[in-house]
Order: sequence, then structure tokens, then C-alpha cells
Amino acid sequence: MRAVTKTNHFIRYLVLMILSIGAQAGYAQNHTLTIQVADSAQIPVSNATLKINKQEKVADSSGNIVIQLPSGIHRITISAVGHYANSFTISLYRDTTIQVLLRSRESLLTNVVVTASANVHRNQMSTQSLNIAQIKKLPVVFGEIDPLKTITLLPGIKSGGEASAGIYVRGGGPDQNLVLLDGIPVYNPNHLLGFFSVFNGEAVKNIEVIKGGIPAEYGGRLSSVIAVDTRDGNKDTLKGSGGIGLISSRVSLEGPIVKGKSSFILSARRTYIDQVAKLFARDTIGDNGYYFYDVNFKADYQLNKNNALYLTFYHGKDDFNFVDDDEDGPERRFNAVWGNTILGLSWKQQLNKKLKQELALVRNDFNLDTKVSFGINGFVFSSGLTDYQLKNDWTYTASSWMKWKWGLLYTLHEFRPGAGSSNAGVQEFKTSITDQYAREAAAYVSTDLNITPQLNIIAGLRYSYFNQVGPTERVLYGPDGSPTGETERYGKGQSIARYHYPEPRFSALYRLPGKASIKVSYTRTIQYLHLATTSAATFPSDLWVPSGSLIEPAKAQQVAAGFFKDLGNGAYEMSAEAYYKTMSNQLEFKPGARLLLNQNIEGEMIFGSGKAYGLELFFQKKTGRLTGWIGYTLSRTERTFPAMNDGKPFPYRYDRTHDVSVVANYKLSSKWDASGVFVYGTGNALTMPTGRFVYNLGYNEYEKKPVFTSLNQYDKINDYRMPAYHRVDLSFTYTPKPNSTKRFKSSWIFSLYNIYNRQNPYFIYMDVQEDEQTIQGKKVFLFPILPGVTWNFKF
Amino acid sequence: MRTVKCKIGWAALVSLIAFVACERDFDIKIRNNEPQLVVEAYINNLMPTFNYVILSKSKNYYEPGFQNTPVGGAKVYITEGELSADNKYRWDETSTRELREISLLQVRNSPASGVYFDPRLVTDSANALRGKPGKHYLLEIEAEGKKYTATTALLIPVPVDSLSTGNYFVDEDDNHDTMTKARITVYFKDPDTIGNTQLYYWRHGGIRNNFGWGGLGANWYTPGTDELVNGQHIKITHSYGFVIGDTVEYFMANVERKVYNFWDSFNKARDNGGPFATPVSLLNTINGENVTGCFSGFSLSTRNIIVK
Repeated sequence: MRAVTKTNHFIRYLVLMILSIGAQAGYAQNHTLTIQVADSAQIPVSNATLKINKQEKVADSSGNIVIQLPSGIHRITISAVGHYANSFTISLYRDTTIQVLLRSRESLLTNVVVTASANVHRNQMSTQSLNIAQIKKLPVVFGEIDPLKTITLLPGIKSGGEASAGIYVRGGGPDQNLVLLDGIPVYNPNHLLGFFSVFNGEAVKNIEVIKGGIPAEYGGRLSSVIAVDTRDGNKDTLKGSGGIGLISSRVSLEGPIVKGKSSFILSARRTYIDQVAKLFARDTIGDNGYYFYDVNFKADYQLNKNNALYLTFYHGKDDFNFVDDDEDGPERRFNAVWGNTILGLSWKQQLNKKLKQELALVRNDFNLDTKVSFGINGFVFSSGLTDYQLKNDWTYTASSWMKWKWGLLYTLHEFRPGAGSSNAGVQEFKTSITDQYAREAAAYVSTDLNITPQLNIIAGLRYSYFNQVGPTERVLYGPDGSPTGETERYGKGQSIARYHYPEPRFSALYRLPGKASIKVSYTRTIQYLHLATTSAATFPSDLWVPSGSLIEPAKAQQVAAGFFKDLGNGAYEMSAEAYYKTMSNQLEFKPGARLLLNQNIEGEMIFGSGKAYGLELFFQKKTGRLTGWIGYTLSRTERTFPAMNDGKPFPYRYDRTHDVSVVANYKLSSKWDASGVFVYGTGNALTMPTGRFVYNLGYNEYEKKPVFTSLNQYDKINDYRMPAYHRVDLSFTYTPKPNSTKRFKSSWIFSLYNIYNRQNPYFIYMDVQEDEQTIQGKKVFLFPILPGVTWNFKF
Repeated sequence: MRTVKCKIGWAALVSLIAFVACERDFDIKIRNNEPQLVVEAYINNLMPTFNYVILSKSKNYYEPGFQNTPVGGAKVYITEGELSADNKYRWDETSTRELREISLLQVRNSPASGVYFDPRLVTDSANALRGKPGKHYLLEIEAEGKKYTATTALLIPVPVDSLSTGNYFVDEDDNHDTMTKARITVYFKDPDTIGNTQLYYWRHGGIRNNFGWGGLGANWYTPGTDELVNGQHIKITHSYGFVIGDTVEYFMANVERKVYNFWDSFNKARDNGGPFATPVSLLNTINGENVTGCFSGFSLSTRNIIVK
């Protein structure tokens, strides 16, 4: 095998000057040089060190270094752990701000974004990243920054619509995404109705989505990996930042715990939607209200140059209260409180120049408490799940052409499907659905081989294992859903159902002349947990249920091929990817299935298969005053269930034939930036009635007229298409003093959502008025043109 | 002219977004389906006039009118039988009754077309069709050249131990006149065998003389299964408000699981709306081509109470 030199493999240095650095006239005086240090993924490098003559200065958490220097020409070196150093010369004759990019020494597998050459030379295909700086520039509804919403502007990643919680990647369901917060799975990544995700923009560093060719270190979900990384705190000085928006505010504080060695960052956010709503409609809002808060905390401790500890904590809580006491019927009250609590501790160790490892211990908790009353009827209900996870990952860089990764994962799942009791004397019971326990484990190994300077292969194997265990009691049910009277009892640790599967992963990159490459990948994924939901909105009543004796794990296979090319010396990038994915053991619930307090929830499920294929085109402009991208997806996603649609394939609800997104950022001046977004998508597929009939007929002797109930007749599943979804959003960012060297800095974001006031239907329905003998179709839309303003600050 | 109005919530979830959600008329073009035969058939052990079969047809969605489209001139038979130990039905052909479209003297204004009764209700009411607990029943229909069949079982009735009234509240009518009303609580012992399911009906006051199960009061919201309360003494309070002094005739129908499942689907289908609902189709217990409906065996126990 040919030896391959490092210089042939990597572009060592990448320096991008954002602003002009030279003025010809100069004076013998000091000027302020501000350097923004970021890695190739545009992610700020917080530990970078600047060296000039004999001076040294360390970047803050945002990667900024501010230094006073006399007029003249200076030789500067910037270095950071894990990155190649970068040396350059600068002519300084006035206050200047420049951006310096450091190339990561890490494998090309981590944190590479849609930036120069990355997609062309990186083996990992079907991957796209956005850093928080990019995300913050884009217009969003109510001005609320949301990384999870923004990634749906990338091809192949679709949202279910406005206020829809789900993210649908290449035809997969919303529960098929492995959403990770600093490597820790998040079960419910959204606050109510999906208006906001649980990821606070103040705490997030970047977000990456892997749609295909999923590396062997990831598993447990079929369709994608959505990895959100949070920022590290500043190790030198106490700093703060925050934002005040129309419906929420956030604040972040960071600083050293032990100067130079240890830091923390604490970010918190709370909405005041309920208070804003009352301002607009106090009479109609009444006691109804909703708010959420969340807190992110991260701390790190550098034990020595080779060992570091990291602590990640997240806690979020939603509180929703609804009261309907109008005269139409009995008073209805609904109160739900739910949230995630995540705690992770990891130890990163560099054993030698070639070997490193990371050991992580995680506790992950989701809880829901609901109180419902309808007249005198009512009950309280609680459910949740807790995970305990141990993870160990190793990386061995054997040589410049060979790298190995291997690792182990063990998770203990505790499912609490539900416990309820009546509180109004209706049907008096106190009961709990039997808790369930499961063990999930996986081991993986993968190798990254540069076979020739042109050909790179990553081959991996993940072997996963799932075991539902006791203690539990299982009531046995007949085919008609009635209990047989028999109960199966399992002792603690006794096996109920066991599954294990190999999950091969393979990807290959072939570099072509002219900064182009082709890539192919194959991925097999297994998912052992299923989300039990019947609604389009991920509501907290949704339950995660484990594979068991009746529910088999879901499986998927995906092949993808793509062509990638850089143009204009890296200023432009384009890619075209095609994929074909099959999915088996897909789970749906019978229409009207009862999910809460149902011991026989498995009896409410039906199983089928799925198929998805498509073509994704992506073109990005990365430099200049105008940057942005255009993404287009042509796709088809369908499901086949023997018990639905006469066993014939039908479109998935979120099957989207055409999906277009155009994102543009334009630097108007040093103070003003403008951004615009255009999205277009084929409408969702729906099942609409094809006829009507009456049932439960009777005759009212007093009123001398028949009484009956009018019901709908349905035929094919998802045979109706909603109108196409499209809108344009704009935002303007105003930074009053962009070159200010003062500690306190602020900026304003003014946004306009849906500027041409498109009435994209949130849902449609038939308004049937039997008394007036009329039937009228209706559409309800959420967001007309909406202005937003957010004031961001940092100090 | 299109109407525009702000929408303040369909349900609890939508209340959250109410202050920005708006509603417009929207032309929903839908495909019409082939008309379907709809069968509503009952057999019970207490009320022969409530043993009947209604045949009707579905119509195109936008077709005017909401009344049922009766299917007349059909042949309808009900036969009694047993289920043997080998799980096979043995029908007693001598018990077969033909049901016909007749107007009943007992039920004024009873619809004639599409509603099939036992003719003995007119000629020999003492021997009119009446279900026997423990027996099984076969329904046979010949309508518009096609044949349909269904079976149902009449279980052993679960006795109503007692009724009580209470949980008073002040109700307001359309004229804003207020009245104190009471709710009824039913007490019964769930049989020790798991899998019992019940439906609850009543008639009183203004609906005392109503015809048909659809004309009675019913509680569709209370779960009627014993999966979580098997063998226990059950106490269920219904939400409906009864006028003080009224006499209430209360029926509890013990039903087999497939009948319960059907009426459960009916409850979900009738209440099937909102942005997040999955369309619910009515289940079907009738065998045949392009048909929906249920043959419901109601094993009734009853009690009366004066609302205090």
C-alpha cells in the first residue's frame, strides 16, 4: 500500500479575512486588533492562544481575542489544543477585526460543516451542520432562536409544519431521530406543540445532522443523528450574555471556576407567552396559561494536559393549564406539567499521541403529571421514563492512513407507562400500569482507511442487544382485545424478550480531480424503542414503549450515493445525493387507540413497513457579502400496513414530493446584516372523508323529529393533499457599535415572519352544521405576517 | 362571502395558540365513495320494541340533507342458537323470525321505511322477539341483491345493586333560567371473570317516550371495561344532570367485547375532530360486501330512581 503523506491528505491552514485589514495611511499609535478564532466549522475556539513577539493572549468563550498593538506590520501565531497552529502577517494601521480559522487535528468526522472543502473531502456523507452564529442570523418566528427548527431548512430534513414538533429525515418518523445533547439522548426535544425545542440558543454551540451513512458509534434510532453541542464556559473571566424577546428571555453566565483550568456556563430561559396572550385577549384567555423554562449548565475541569472532566446538566419544565367553563357544556380543566432532566459526566483522556478515550455516565429522566377534569369526572395521571447509561469510546490513530474507533454502550431503561387515580368519585380506582424495564447494549468497531490519496473507506460494525426484563406482570389479551384472565409474571431481571442484531456501516469516498468527490454509503440501523402517539403534535401524553414479546424492533437499511464539488476556489459548494431506504416493523396505532392507562397498549398497535427514496440537491455560497444556500429535495415516502388501506401502500403523512429552501445572508454594512429565508413544500397527505351516514338512530317524541349521529365514511389513507406550504421571512441584525472594545455589547434583531402573509393551513376540517344543513370546509392557520424583535447583549 | 373569525381554541391544546390562530373558509375537494350499506341491529332481553334492525345507505359527503337514506324492501331474519364447546354455532331454525318494515302502535311516529321489527309486536306482543341471556343470535339480511350476516351473544346480565342521586349543580338553560340538577351514581359488583364490558342508558322526563336506543340518554365517556377494576364493587357517577323530582329508568347493558369495541369506536368516531385527531372509522361486525355496522346484543338489567 502506498504511503500517503499528510500534506497530500489535508489542507493545513485555512484563513479567511472578513474585513479589510489595511489602511495605507498610518500613525505611530496603538490600534485595537480583534481576532475571532473559529474552527473549520465556524465554531468559536475558546481556548486559542495568540502569540505576538513575546505577548500571549487567550481567546474568550466566544473565540475572541482583543489586543492593543502599535501601527505597523505584525507576525501573529494562533494556536489551540486539538488544532493546527496558524501563523500570518498583518498590517495594522487602524482598529481592525479579522476572523481566523484553525483547522482541527481531529478526524474529519467531527463537527465539520458546510464549509470550504469539508463536504468534498470528508468521507462522512449526508451530513450537515450549522453553528449558532449561522443560526442566529436567520429569521425565526417571534425572533426566538431555535437550532432544531433551523436545521429543517437543509435538504432531506423536514418539519411537519408550523408548530409541529416532529423532524422527518429521509422519510423516517419523528421518533427515529437520535437527538443528542452533548452526546446524551433527549427523549422529548420539544416544548409544547413544537413551538420551541428544548435547545436554548444561548447555550448551544452547533448542531449537526447525519441523515445517512451513520457511523458505527451511533445507534438506537433508524433515521438520523441530531447532535447538539453546548458551549464551554470562559476559563479566564466572568462573562454574561442574554436576549430579551417578545415572548421569552434568556440569560447566560460563564466564567472560570479555577482560572485557566476549569470553567462553567449557566444558561436559563423562560417564556411569558401566557402573559403576552393575556395582554391581547384577557377575557378569552382567562385562567388558561402556558409557560416553560429550561436551564443548561456545563462545567469542565482540565485535570492536566491529557485529562479533562465535563459535567452537563439540563432541566426543563413545561406547565400548561386549560380551563373551559363556557356555557356549552360541563367545565373542562386540564393541567399538565412535564419536563426532562439530564445529567452527564464524562472523562476525556489522551493516553498518548495515538490513543484517546472518553468515558461517560448519564442519567436521563422524563416525567409527566396530568390532571384532567370534565364536569365531575376527572383523574390524575403520571408517566415517565428514566435511563442510566454508561458509554466508553476509544480512538486509535495508528498512522496517517489508518484510524480505529471502538466502544461500548450500556443503558438501563425504566419505563413508567402510567399511574392514575380518580379524583372526582367517578369510577373509583387507583391503579398503575405495570412498569417495564429493559437493558440495551451495543459494541462497535470501525476503521477509517486512506487506501490511496483518492480513496477513503470507513467500515464499521455495530452489534446491538436489547433485553426487556422483569419485574413485571403482563395481562394476556385475546385477538378481540379482551383479557383472557391469564397473567404472566416475571421476576426481577427475568428475561421477557431478547433481541440482538448486527448493524454494518460502510462508506467510501473517491476524490476526483477539480475539488470534487463521489461518495457511497450503506447503513443498517435497529431501533428498540417506539414512541406511542396518535397525534401530529408531539404531546407529552406520548409514551415511549420498549420492544417486547409482541413488539419487535424496527429495522432500516439505507443506501446513498452522492457527488460533491467545490467551485470558485472554495467560495461555492454543491452536492447531489440520492438515497433509498427501507424500513420494517414500523408501528402505527389503531385510529382512536387509547394510550393512557391501557395495560394492553401493545394490542392497540399495528405493524407495517416503509419505503423512502429521493434526490437532494444543495448549492451554497460561503464567502462574500452574500452567503447562503439553496436546497431542493425530490422524494417519496410511503407505508404499507396489512391492517390499513386494504394492505396497499399509502403515502406517509409527511411525504413531500418537492421541498425547497433558499437561505441568504447579506452584509449591508458594518452595522447591518440582512437575512432571508424562502421555503416551499408539497402539502402534507391527509385522510379525508369520502361519504357520510347516520347511526344511533332514534325518534324524539317530544320534539317530533328523528335523532341520530352523523358519521364520516373513509376510504383510502392519506389520499388528500393539503395546499403547498410556502413563505418568506426576513430579518435584520443591527449592531450599533460593531468595533466597540467595551465590555458591554449589544445588538438588535428585527424579524418579519411570513412577509407576504401566506395562510398556510395548520389544519383543515369540515364544519358541519346539521341544524343549518350546511357543510363548509375550513382551514386554520397559525402565523400571518408576524414582526419580532429581540435585543441581545453580552458583557 | 367568505367569513373570517378568530378562533379561540378547539380544545385545550389550541387554546395556547388561540391568540394568533385564524380560520377561513376553504374549498376542500374530496373524492366520493361508493355508497355503503349501514346496519344498526339490536337484540335485548327486556324490551321487545327495542329489538329492531335499521338499514340505510351512506351518501356522498357534500350531498344535501342529514337524514338517513333508508334501505327498504330487504329480507331480515334473526335466529336464536347456541355456541357449542367446539366453538361452533348451532342455530335453531325453528326460532327464526322475519323482521319487517311495519309501523308500531306502541311507538307513535315510528319510522316505517328501512326499520324492521318483529311483526308479532303488532299481532302477538307477548311472544314478540325477545333475547334470552346465554343465547347467541344470527342476523341475516338480503338487501338489493346482496346477502349479509352477523352474530351476537346475549351475556348474563350484571345486576344493578342500587342507584343514588347527588353531586348537585346549578344548570342554566338557553333562556338563562337556572335550575338545580343532580347526577346519578350506579353501584354494581363486577363479575369475578375479567373482560366484562358495559354500556349505560336511561330514559326520563322529556325523553321517556322516545323511540330507539339513539333516542335514550347514554353515557359515552365513562369507560365500561373492568380491566383495571376486575371483580370490584364499582361506583360510577354519570355527568348528565337530572331534574329534581324526575323518575329515571336506568339500564345497564352487559355486552360482549366486540359490541363494546364497536360502540367505543362509535364514540370516538362521533367525537372525531380537532387538529390532532386521526380519522376514526366505525368498526364493523357485519359480514358482507361494502357494509358497516353492528349487531348489538344488550343483556339488560334495570332500576328506577326518583331524583332527590
